[in-house]
Amino acid sequence: MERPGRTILRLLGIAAFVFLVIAFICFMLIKLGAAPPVVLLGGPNPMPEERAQLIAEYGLNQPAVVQFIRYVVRTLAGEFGRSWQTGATVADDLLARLPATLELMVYALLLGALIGIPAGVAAAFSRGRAEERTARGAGLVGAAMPSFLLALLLLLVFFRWLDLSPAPSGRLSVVLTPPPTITGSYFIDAILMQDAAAARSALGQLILPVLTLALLIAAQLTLQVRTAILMQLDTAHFAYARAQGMSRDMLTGIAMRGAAPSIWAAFCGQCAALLGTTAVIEYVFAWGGVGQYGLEAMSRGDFAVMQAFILLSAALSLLVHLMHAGVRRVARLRIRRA
Amino acid sequence: MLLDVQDLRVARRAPGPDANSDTASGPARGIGTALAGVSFRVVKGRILALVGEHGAGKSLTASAVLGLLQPSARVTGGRALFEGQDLLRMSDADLTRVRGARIGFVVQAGHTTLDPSARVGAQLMRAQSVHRAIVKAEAAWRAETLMSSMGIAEPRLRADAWPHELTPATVQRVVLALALINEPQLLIADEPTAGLDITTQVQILDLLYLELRRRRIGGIIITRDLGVVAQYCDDVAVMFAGQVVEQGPVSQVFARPAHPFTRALLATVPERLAIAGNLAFGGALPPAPDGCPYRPRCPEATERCTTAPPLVGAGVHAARCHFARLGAA
Repeated sequence: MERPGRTILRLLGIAAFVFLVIAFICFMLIKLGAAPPVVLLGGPNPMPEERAQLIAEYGLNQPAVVQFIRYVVRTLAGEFGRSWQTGATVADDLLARLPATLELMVYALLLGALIGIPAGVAAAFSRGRAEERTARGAGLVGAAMPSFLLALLLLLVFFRWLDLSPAPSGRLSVVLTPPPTITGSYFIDAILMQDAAAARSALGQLILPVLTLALLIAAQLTLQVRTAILMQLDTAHFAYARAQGMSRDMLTGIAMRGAAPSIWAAFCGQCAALLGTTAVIEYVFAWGGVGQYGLEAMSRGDFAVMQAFILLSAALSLLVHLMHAGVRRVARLRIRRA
Repeated sequence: MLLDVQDLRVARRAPGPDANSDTASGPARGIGTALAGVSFRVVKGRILALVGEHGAGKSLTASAVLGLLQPSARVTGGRALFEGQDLLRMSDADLTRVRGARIGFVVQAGHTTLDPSARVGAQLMRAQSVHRAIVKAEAAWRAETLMSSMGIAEPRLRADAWPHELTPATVQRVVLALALINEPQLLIADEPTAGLDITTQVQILDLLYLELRRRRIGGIIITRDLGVVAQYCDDVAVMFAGQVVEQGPVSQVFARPAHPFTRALLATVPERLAIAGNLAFGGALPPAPDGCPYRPRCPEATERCTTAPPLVGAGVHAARCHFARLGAA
């Protein structure tokens, strides 16, 4: 019998180990960079006083081991250094941009699950018929589609040709002032402030990037959920439920409950992989979120930001993993306690 | 007449690389188990045994009648009249109202038979509420009462149990309760005791028999155990290669088996083995020749057997053989 305390400790231990490995990789980025660390961290032409400050801050004239320890300690304290592009600390930059990214990711996950899970269930239940082939085909196309290509296609159709969507120029029309930050989501904040114009504009700007991400998520979820449900349809207890004259709704419920662990895992997998896709979509739509910030830092060699972005991605993955394991544990305890 | 199956035909797609090969549907079992015109009758208050070798089409017959065929198989002909209604031409929605309500189904129970994500009592209550409007308290009371008469000790405690906490014998009793809870007119039991201890088998069969007799409903027991047929069944239909080759009252068929396959089958019963000497079985399943399907294995086959044999019989006892040795019935 597993003890919950031990499992949590084990998970946290794994998380700590993974963090150390990622931190090491980030650290080595600087050590193995094509330019001296001072240039990587301080920009192409650091001033002499900036240079001295960086050397002192990072301990660049000390042994590598000491540098690594300092790096880990600083990172744990939430100090990621400065971006030489924006001049601000990376922590401040990230915090300012995080709401934009979260807004995109949350809506995309909700919409993606809302489309993908029912589509997967319907596909499995219509096994061998045209509906299944359609759902499966659409899922395969969506899963194989590069994210930026789908974004551009949607822009081509809805912005260029049909002119239904606003220009991909960020989170709000340029002529409007953003609402004061309450939740960080322009749309929700505008509604809370009863600013109809801003709310409408924020919603309009959200639609295409959210739709792009949601379709990509839905495509993969459709395929994964279909497989999970199909496995349930082939179980003995499902066959027996049919022999008992269960209605379609009840059969769906039985299959969904049986497939719940797999569906939850598929959903968590989408969560964990989402930041990378979101970064690309943010770039296409000039969203100004964390993802775009990270991508631009990579293309320009802003190493402090790159390090922080990699750490953030890893932290998100770890968080999702813990969430997945935690919910599974709770669900299992609920069944065991019979 | 409760159930009148006439010339039921089922075609089965050969397994092969198809669009769904990545699903867990597994390899199609037994190629050539398609049904080639199965006919039998179940009378109210009587128990019919469907016997035959593995792959003869016994379970497939039950699945076809209940509309539960795998996607790879489909009905190509015949009728299955249940109280005058043809089950084979019923919509799935109408069939749903028959299954579990007017026809109860007992399967070979194991730890995978019951829904693992619902408690036993909840499953018994669900089985009732899906077929009629019923108050929760009444459904729970009926579930407990039936569990108790199925020989489950402490039904209230067991109702709260999860399926994985039950022994196979108790699962089988729960399955019996599930099949009977809506008071069906017909009960189909497919290998109801396979995989159980010998002593438990007897208990379950006794229970099944008593319930069928007490409720005066029709029963079909699918089995390979001739002892079960002799002890618990009124009529028997012997299946071979997707056909009923002989049928009649158990006493008559067992006393005077008319078809060579039935004689071979009966010769496997240990006490008869000594008399029969060597077995008349042999060879693999025949590749469905023209004429009589049993011909390749039949010790009495002649030239005439290359033509399809008719159903020979007078009255209740009949066999599908040119040389059917029907008694002086």
